[in-house]
Amino acid sequence: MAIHPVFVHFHTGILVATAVVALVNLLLRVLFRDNINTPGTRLSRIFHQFDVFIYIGSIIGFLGLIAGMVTGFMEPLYPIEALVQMPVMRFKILWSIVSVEIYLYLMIVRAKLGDRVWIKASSYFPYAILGIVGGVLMMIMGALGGIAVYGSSILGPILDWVGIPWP
Amino acid sequence: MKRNHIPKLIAVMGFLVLLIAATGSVIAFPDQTNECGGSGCHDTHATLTLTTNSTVDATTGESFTLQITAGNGANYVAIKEGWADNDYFTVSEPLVQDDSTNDTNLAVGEISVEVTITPLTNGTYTLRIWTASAGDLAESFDITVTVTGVPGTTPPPTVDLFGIWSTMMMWVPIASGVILLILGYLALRRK
Repeated sequence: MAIHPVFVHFHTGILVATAVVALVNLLLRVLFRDNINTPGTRLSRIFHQFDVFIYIGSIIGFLGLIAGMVTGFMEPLYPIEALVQMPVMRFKILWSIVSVEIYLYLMIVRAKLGDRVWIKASSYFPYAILGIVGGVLMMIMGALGGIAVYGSSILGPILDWVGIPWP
Repeated sequence: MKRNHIPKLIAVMGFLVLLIAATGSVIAFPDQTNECGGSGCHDTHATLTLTTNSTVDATTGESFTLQITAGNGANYVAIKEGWADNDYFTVSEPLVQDDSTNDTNLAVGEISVEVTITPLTNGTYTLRIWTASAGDLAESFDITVTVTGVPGTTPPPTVDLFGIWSTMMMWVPIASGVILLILGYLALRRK
């Protein structure tokens, strides 16, 4: 019985949404710095709700990725000897480990700094950009998983355009 | 001891007793030689079957066809670069999955495939074929190929993609970890 798909679809969607929200928050922080720092304004409320969304998304990402990796290696139809023979799977294994590191970073930095993560450029730029990078990596890994199982993905043209080869 | 600590202590002791009882109940039977399963516990395959010619006489540059049959739960058949003398041949289908387009046997757990192989240079070589099941079972089969004819070209240096990936599996997480540590330090340091 395939258990890996059950454990990956939910958090992959959340993490891609988190990447979009991180991009929006980064733009808000850069373009509307004064408005988001004014308590009580609608923009300020949206900004802080988005900030919480990214934080929760990072926690879900970290836990979901670990669950996805464990269930991926437990998949009865894909023994580890066969997995490492397939370039698509090798790509997924390598970059899922990097993604775990990214979401661990986001989780720790946000837990330590709170919403002060958005004050300094040295904290909010890496925070937002790594959130976007993590979401893009998850999207690519999800697409490659789809290609491995179904033979195609709706992201195929985008992967072609970016230059990522897929079988 | 404070009075309100007693329930917590009882709960912890209870868990410890359960833990010790559970770990103590694990018993090994080192003298047993028969396979686990067969009674509904695990489904095991006795052995994977993998058949094809065991010896082949070939000519450099002229391709020959191997009819490979794997069964008894086989999910993959592979003839990959880097195994035994496989680098001295070009292989038409390096990896075939059960019920993929190249598998002519539609039964689950059985693979039949025709692989076209071209020797690159003269000599006696071992061509290694591998098969794996849905579980951890894997088998390999070696074919002795004697290649004669006009001396062929030296096989081109192979790109060891698996080796590159193995190296990357170590260095990429370390490198990204170091970068994230630096970014974390910059974000968390106090001015």
